[in-house]
Amino acid sequence: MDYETKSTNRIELRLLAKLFRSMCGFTMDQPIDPVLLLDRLPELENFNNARYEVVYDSELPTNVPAQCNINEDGYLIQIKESVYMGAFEKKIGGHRMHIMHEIMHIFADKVGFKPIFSRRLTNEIHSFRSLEWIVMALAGEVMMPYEATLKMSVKRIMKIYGVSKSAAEKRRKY
Amino acid sequence: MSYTSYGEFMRILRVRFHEVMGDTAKLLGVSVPFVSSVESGKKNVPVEWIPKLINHYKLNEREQKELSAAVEESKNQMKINLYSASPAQRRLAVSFQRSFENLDADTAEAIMKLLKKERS
Repeated sequence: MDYETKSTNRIELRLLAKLFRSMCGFTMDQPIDPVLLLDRLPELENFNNARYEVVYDSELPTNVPAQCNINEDGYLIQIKESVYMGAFEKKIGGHRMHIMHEIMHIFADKVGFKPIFSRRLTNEIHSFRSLEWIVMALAGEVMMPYEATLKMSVKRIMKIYGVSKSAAEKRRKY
Repeated sequence: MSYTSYGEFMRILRVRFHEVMGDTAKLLGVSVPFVSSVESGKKNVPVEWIPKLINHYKLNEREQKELSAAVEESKNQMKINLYSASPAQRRLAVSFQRSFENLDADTAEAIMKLLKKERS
């Protein structure tokens, strides 16, 4: 499901990723464990109405690894057990990124990336106006800081930042 | 959205001890979704968890009291033992159960005052 939102660009997203790191008290190059971050969310400025739960896989649709519900009461991240365990025990890069993606939904909403239309859009949206794309890019920028990874190989990015090969390749490309 | 008192207590403990919910599940010998559903108030806190938590986090007396209070506050189901109850007590329990959902704050407060008076 995707929504159209205000437009942005890579440079702005990189700055926002830095802002998020600084809000969390992380340096601009240290690796982040999204699983550890989940419990810290309510302590971040303006995140006090954010919480998460880990649910049995059967509770979410097959193609949904995790989701973030936003309403007037706040934010609720729901993560499938298999995704959480993959990130927690096996440190699977893709699963760690799924969790960061949902955390970024909250951050994106906080910094003003709200759906322009309340209805779901089915037509393709240009990347820089697509909420899903923005959240995905933000997650990548937060997990793999641009400056710190400039001279790193794909393998090194994977090793240092605990991300999947495809995420590290994207980082090298952009 | 916020956690239950117990969920918030556990969240703070985990942050302090650099642990995550998966560690809590391992400690308690249950699945992560089960821990999560207890912390979000969908299920009551199993009593056998309390000594495990006290030992693992080496909770002092004050923290143990806070944990007990958080567990009490987070309960979403309570049992009343009617085994030796009088007919009047039984009628009261059933009537209370039936009316509970529609009880407004003023009536709840009035009942609390009556019960406090009864205890003193």
